[in-house]
Amino acid sequence: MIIELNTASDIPIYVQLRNQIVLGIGRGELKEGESLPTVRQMAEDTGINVMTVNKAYGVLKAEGFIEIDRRHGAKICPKVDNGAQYREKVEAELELLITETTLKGIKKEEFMKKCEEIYNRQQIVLV
Amino acid sequence: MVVMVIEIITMLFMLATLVYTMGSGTVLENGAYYMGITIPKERRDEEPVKNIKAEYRRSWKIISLVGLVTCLAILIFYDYVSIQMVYILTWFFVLMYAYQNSLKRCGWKLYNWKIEQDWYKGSEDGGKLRRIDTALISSKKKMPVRPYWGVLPMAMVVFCVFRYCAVHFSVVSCSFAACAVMFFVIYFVIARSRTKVYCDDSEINIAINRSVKYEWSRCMMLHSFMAAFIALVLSLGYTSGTQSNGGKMSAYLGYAMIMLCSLGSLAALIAAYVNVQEVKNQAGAVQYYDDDDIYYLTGKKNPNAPRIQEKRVGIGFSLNAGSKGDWIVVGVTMLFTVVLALFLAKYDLADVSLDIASDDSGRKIAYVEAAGEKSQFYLDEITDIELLDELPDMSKNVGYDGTVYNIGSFEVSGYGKCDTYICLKTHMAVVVKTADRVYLFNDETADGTREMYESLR
Repeated sequence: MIIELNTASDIPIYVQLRNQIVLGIGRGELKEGESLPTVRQMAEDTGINVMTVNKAYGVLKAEGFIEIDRRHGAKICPKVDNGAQYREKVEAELELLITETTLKGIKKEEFMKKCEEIYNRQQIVLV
Repeated sequence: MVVMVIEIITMLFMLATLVYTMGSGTVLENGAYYMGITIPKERRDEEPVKNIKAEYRRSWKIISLVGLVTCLAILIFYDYVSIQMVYILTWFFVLMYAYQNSLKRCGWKLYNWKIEQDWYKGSEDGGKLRRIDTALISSKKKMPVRPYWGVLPMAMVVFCVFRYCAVHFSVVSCSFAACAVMFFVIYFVIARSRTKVYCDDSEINIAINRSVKYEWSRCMMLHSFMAAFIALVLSLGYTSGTQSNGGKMSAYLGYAMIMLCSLGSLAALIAAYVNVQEVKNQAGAVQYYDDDDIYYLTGKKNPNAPRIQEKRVGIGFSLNAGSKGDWIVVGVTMLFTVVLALFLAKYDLADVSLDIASDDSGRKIAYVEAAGEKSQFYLDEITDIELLDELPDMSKNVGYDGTVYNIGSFEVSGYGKCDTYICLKTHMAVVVKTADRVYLFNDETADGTREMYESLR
């Protein structure tokens, strides 16, 4: 999988890295059980600080997208989380997003259409 | 004479490399680069690009011709090895600067033309985007040749160091041993260098990166081996018998091995380039390229590029230079050569002197001195003294054998091991034998040598 990080972006690099890996899993570019480079390998090869990569991996692990084994490094393991806590989180984020878009003048129909467009474009593969 | 021939061959070799690298090498199918600038492949046949190329070719021819003439001008400094060294270094760097300056002048024209034509992608890809291929990074460790191939050259270097400490020190051999270590270090730099994402197909990325790392790491390992081998040959003294009949064969064998190793190094470089290029061509067109020409043209360090990367112009790798650290590397190299030249200058400016004085007990003692080296013997200890009309054949054990002076401990034909202070400008020499040593010396003129002989009688 190809990950693109923009060092000039306002989005922190660890967030970009986390987001791209999640997108990769969603699109099926990273399959369950597939190994990710170790923190050190990734940091050495991209010129990014070890702590930044470590932070991204930590977030992904906490969210259940990867598991980290001391011997084998990081592996993809997207666990289906139907827990109430995660649903609450999604709801809160959607609430904020809908409010923001409405305040910026985007109508409900347009918002829903865009959501559908992106959903279809992403070609999410259920693992 | 032999030293001068080797120097001229070396300079011609350096010139040929520069001429090729800065000529044909500027338009090699080196990824996205054309004359050092990222020009799309389909645009390289357009008229303005061709005109800029023709302009560069003209200045390239002139610089190459001047390089050839100034190469032969080293003969002016025939008597001074130290000046020859500084001359070679200055000649090479000035020539390189002239080529680079001319290439960059044309590079700026291409760059401006590219912006005018809206081919410029710098704002989008100017080193701000970092691409990571997860499959590529995971397989990176297996790409270069194994480091244990370096055991043999490093063992040779250790053996040479042992000989420097135990038998005798050789500046030239030591320089080659240092080169062997340097190439071994470069091997590790290449092995650990960042991978490059060429396109969105991981298999192609892995194939090209494996080829680049494998070929260049093997090339550096071969260079390390050959430099260590030359250091060993020089350390064992295979090249120091050129003036003796007995040592001629081994000396010529030594020089032949050195020349073979030098040609081997060049062959390894070209082979690595050709093999990498073959894989790149098989892999198809490169989709991504980083448009970071401005760093190359202004000479600034590209903060987002790896420390070393494949050259924009020519064959091999180049440093992502521009930082203070990289200038330290250049500075240390220059300093090393200047210090070596200063060290050798004392031999070039040597003057053999013979002084006779009396010690506290009234015994007469003779001092022979040149370039800081000194021998002494009591006149009443002399068992035999000869004035030679022809210089005998001699080969160096320890010391200096330049184009004008032979100073140090030499194996002299018919006399064995001698303390030698010989100026090669004259054929006469004085041989003084004592119970335990033999001394061979002369003045730079025949009359002076005869005076030395008379004063000792």
